[in-house]
Amino acid sequence: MKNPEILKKVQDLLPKVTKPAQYCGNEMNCVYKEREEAAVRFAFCFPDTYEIGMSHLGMKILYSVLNNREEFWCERVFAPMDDMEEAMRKEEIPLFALESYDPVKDFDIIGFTLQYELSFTNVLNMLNLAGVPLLSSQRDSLSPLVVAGGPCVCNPEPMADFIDLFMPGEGEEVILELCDCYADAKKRGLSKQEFLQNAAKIPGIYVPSLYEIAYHEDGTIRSMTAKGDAPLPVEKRVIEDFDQVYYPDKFVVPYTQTVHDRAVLEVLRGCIRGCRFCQAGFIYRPFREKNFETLNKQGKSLCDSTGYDELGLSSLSTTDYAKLDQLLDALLGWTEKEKINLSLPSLRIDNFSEEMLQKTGAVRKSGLTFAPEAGTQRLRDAINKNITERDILRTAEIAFLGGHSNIKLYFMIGLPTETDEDIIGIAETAQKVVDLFYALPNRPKGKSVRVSVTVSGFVPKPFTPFEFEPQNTREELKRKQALLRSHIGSKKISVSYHDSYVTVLEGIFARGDRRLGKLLLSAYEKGCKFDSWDDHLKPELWQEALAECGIDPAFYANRRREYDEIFPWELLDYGVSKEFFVRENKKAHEAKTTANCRQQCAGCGANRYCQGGKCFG
Amino acid sequence: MVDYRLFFGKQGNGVYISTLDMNRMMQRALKRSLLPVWYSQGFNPHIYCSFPLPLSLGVYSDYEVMDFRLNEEMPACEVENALRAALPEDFPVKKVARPQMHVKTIGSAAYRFTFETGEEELAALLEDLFTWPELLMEKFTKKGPREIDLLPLIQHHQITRGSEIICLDARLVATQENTLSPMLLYDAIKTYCPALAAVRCKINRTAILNQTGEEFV
Repeated sequence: MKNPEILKKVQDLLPKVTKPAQYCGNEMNCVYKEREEAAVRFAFCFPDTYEIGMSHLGMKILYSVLNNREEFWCERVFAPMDDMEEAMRKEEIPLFALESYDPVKDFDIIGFTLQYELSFTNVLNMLNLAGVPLLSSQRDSLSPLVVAGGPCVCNPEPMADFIDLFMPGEGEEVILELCDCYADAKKRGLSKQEFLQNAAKIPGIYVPSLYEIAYHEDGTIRSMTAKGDAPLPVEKRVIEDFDQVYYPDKFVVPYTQTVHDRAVLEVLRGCIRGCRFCQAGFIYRPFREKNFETLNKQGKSLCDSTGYDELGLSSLSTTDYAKLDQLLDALLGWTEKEKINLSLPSLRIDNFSEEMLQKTGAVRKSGLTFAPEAGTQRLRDAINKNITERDILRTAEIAFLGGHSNIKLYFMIGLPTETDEDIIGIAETAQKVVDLFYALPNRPKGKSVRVSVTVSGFVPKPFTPFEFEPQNTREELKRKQALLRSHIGSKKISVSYHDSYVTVLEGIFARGDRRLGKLLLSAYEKGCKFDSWDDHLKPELWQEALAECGIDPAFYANRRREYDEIFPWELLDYGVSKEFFVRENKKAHEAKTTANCRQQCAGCGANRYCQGGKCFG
Repeated sequence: MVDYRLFFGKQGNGVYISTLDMNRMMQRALKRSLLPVWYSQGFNPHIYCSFPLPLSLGVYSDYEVMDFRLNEEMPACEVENALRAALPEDFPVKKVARPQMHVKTIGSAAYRFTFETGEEELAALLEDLFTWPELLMEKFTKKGPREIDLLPLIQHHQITRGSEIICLDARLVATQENTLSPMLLYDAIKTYCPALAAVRCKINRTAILNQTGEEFV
């Protein structure tokens, strides 16, 4: 039964706003419980709109994990679009959860998933719309507690002023332990401080208020100290038995179109490749796979309970799944009959095959996407993207012979050790793919080839071998982009480069520290939100905020950091050692590659989370 | 390949689901129902389902129709039960039957507009509207905006007043050549009777009729 007061007000607004269905809830498989019977009510907030948030797998998993426990009720909350937000503020409707329509501020725990740095202002906006004080220090009582998880928690420091507690690492188990600890605190009438002290003892929970940071004159960190017996560093949480970990057998099925409209299987976690620019590949280590029979069963349950006609196999690098053929065969055993398409995003260039192309019939003729990332072998070696030009051309050939005439290639510019030669190499690579098409006697007839080159500006991230590197300035990136365009010699090649202030902001927050809290607050108060949306991003306001806070973005983004500098994210331990990152960084500067984990262990340190200390075998 | 016709309602927040979204939703429901549904042929087979008279967004309904096909004949009540189990509660299943009339025979649709007010003056205002020589509104068509007179498109109307509500029952033309959307009529009412614009109104489709005034089945 929905909150009647809010329901009535919202129903009056629905005919007047865009895509009203996003505020309605009542979707297939959503969970309703009795308010009074819930020991803990959790508001899971995705800091973006419904159509984006409902595509997020993590939310689907944790929604189910929590609701699977009878005494916990988890509901979903998304950021309202502008017109709805304006109407809500005018009519004094506080941010509410989709299932019960109850105000978010009345929940026990308000949890945000931090997926990308540019969603931070949306977190503040949602708290404000909910009527919850933004700063942790302004919230005295146990409820509502504001928590956060997700990939950005690997460097949570810019959000330390606003979030009471972070959950670094994998959430399936720790989120339940958090709620148990909270339910206990509620029963015993503990204060917020007492609760936080208890929670900090749970592995995989980081309470920022229990740590103090001191700085040198030059702005770098002098020391980080823990109060009392709070752990330092805080270790991320890892699910040991990934095969048996809880996975939902139902997904909430939205009525409206979302970014991804399909059932999803999580095939593996972590990555063996060790590409030096990639944060995800390191923070999700150690590499763990699910048993293909487990996956097959999970896939069937999901498709039966949702009715989706597409099943996606999701992971950082699905073609590295050891038993991929067996898995595909098992799935095709029933998906073909039920006319369910299999989709395999994130295909690696070096193990793509004709068979793969055939089995994944969901690949629309509109295009295949591959990511060489760099235009020359030297630079690919430096970033440890271990693919050769031969791999690229061989894959393009398979795609062309399979009937595809559109290929998308992803590259980055601004990579460490990059020279102009490497930029020109991108154009040359694209040209070679075009030439290959015309040299093939069996190419698709009556069609001409389209090679779309998408280029993005590289942002160095924490917990990668490039965490020490300076980011290219926006001017430098623009110059390189122009250089690239001037070397494109064919109409069959299109280059899409998005020059955006987004890269500047990412550069500040990705490797930011606690002092950025005041920048976030200032920018938010000036009206910044939905920063990842082009039509909302307000660079002038951010510039104002930066100036008023006396913050120089170059300090965070564009300077080279020494190997022995203390980094804000080193409060946390994500399994991969700094020594490893230093070793890899040195190899990058010598353009030396490192083999993948299956070929040879490079001693990153994540093996301590594995049985017997070995990731494989 | 056997044709079936589903009669269902649209309630609660389901009224904000567009026809396109409803199409997707029905396909998934048909899939979940485990019925032997018929798929279209060709490159991208999908479950065939068609809505002969789509409903404007925001309008409730007790009389929605969807045509679909099964690969084999089955007892209608079995099909009905399977669909009832597979559909969300905002879309209650009324009946499943073999289609008897062709969609081309659809002639009109009946709607009830319920205004949350019992004021005599407002009821009189509404009565008066239907005595005007013409009721002009701008209709947005594919060829651009056109001014049309709504009155000839309203085949029948009746206004009743209670202590708390005023009901307008109207039968609006709905053929392949011309259809009057209830929302357009509602906009006209709000435009020409501004006093009614401030009153909450619920619009509900009560029936779909063929050209001779019988219920479309």
